[in-house]
Amino acid sequence: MRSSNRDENDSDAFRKGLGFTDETLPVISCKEVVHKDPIHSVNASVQTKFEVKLEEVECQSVKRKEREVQVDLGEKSANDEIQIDMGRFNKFLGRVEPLVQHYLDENADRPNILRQIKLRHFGDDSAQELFTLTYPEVLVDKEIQVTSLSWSANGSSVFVGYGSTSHEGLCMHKGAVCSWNIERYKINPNKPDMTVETTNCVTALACHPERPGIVAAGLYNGEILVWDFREQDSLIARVLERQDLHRDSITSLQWIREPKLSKKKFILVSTSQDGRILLWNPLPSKNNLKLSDAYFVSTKISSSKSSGKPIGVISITFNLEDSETFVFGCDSGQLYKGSLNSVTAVQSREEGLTEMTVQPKNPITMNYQSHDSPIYSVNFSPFNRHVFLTSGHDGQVRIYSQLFPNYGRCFAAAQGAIFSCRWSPSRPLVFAVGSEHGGTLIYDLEPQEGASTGLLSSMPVQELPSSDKGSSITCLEFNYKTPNILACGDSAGAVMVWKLAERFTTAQNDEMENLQILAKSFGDS
Amino acid sequence: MTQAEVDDTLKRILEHKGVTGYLIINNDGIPIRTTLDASLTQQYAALVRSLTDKARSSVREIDPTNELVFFRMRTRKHEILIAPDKEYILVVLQSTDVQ
Repeated sequence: MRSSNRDENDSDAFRKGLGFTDETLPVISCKEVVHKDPIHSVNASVQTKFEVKLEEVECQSVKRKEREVQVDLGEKSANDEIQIDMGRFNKFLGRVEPLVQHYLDENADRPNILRQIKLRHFGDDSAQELFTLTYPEVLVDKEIQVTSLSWSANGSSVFVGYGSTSHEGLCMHKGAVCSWNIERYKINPNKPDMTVETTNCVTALACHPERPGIVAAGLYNGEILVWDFREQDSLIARVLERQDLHRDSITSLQWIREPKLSKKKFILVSTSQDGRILLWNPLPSKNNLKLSDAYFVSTKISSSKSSGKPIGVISITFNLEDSETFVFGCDSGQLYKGSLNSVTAVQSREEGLTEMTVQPKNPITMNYQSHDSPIYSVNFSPFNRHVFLTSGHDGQVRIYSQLFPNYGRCFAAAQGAIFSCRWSPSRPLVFAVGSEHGGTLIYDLEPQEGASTGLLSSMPVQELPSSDKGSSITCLEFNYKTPNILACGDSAGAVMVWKLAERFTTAQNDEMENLQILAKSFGDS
Repeated sequence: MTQAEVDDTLKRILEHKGVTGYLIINNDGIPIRTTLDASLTQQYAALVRSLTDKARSSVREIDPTNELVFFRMRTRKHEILIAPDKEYILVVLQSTDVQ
């Protein structure tokens, strides 16, 4: 650039004069500098590749113990659920067997001297009266008495059946079944825990031996009712088939184990004045008591018109060991042994036999020496399978062995008719009878110390009076769960519950053997 | 083969004169072998266990160097023989009725 000195130019330009001239200025160019640098682009991705490791660990302490428990009633199988090491078990047996064998041998060889030791009872022999149970409302009708009683399955309640024994024709009375639980803290002896009324007199009563609440009752008109008192609607069964009904009053009812089937259930056996012994199926369905077996007892068939007539069966007892054998006592005083296996046909023109759902058979297998009057009660001994007790209107109590037709012992207490007889459930040589005038008589066949055998033991060792001293004992039952409790029902309508003294409940060491010896001696006389 | 031996031994015991049954329980009180019915077995198992323990401890208390080997209970109806061991207890019932 020309440096312009303004002052010089000014003065020059001023002198020449101001002239505007066009000038073209030279173009100045700049060189374009292009950097052609290659751009380095690098693609780099950075990523930390890590493996995802998943680890799950549960931390919880759990202890498990497995044990199988199975209860099978009636089966004899051992519990094999537990693993046993056979080798060690065998060694255990090897260790103990010599010991056990040694003592087993010793016991077998050594005479049993302990049996000779007699227990001597100290203290009072008298029985303690626990309760006198009455039900005044049903006893308004003066004719009503206690006709039957039964202990419940667990032995804590007593069921009482009320009815009358004086009937001229049809029964016009109202019967009732009442129960008292005597193990309650406070019981009111005049108010039963439970009452059921029936259309006519109750003549027989039986509680189920295993299921509490189930009670069967037989009525004067031949009906059989079964109640389950745990149910809301308590009547669970009655005989619905009219042709199977008894034609006369039920004289006794009993629950027995079903002998033939292996189910071990209980069936009901009823006897009646119409000569029939009927077996009813267990715990029926649809309220129907179904007949499962039937037996008919009649007079001998002969050409006379009165043959084939039914003989009223008043009482029956089943053998405890041989459940198919039974002994029954009849209205005529006859005493027979019967069998549930009997297939003898009945030849009788008695009406109604052919219409029954099960054809009745003749059960008689053996004839025993008869009483001269109706036999009111028979009872097999719980300790000896041959011995049974009978009692009748003639006032006699007889002990028979089922092997011999004649009786072995006879007791005549001269207290009127003997309405009931029962063996004690805890002492083999003790039995109790209910008499007409003398209350309850208890006999002990155990030879007393110092006394001559024979004479003394034929007198009752204890007499328990009835509730009003004049009435007869119509029925009595021992409580099998508490054997020193005895319930006696009398004709005044009261049931007395006694607690017997110690000597009547604890048996002697050799008492069962003495009973066996006694039974065998019947064959000699 | 030990199973057969075991059965043999038990049969020998059962066939002995007067024996009416046996029962073997282990240390937990569980019946292993029995000839009694189920309910009776359960009863015996429960009762014998505690009785054996009591007897054992009684013997030990009197003399710590002594130990219970065997004991019998004679009742009116039968004799109960109890053989306690480390692992099992054998209970044998023998009738005492002399014919």
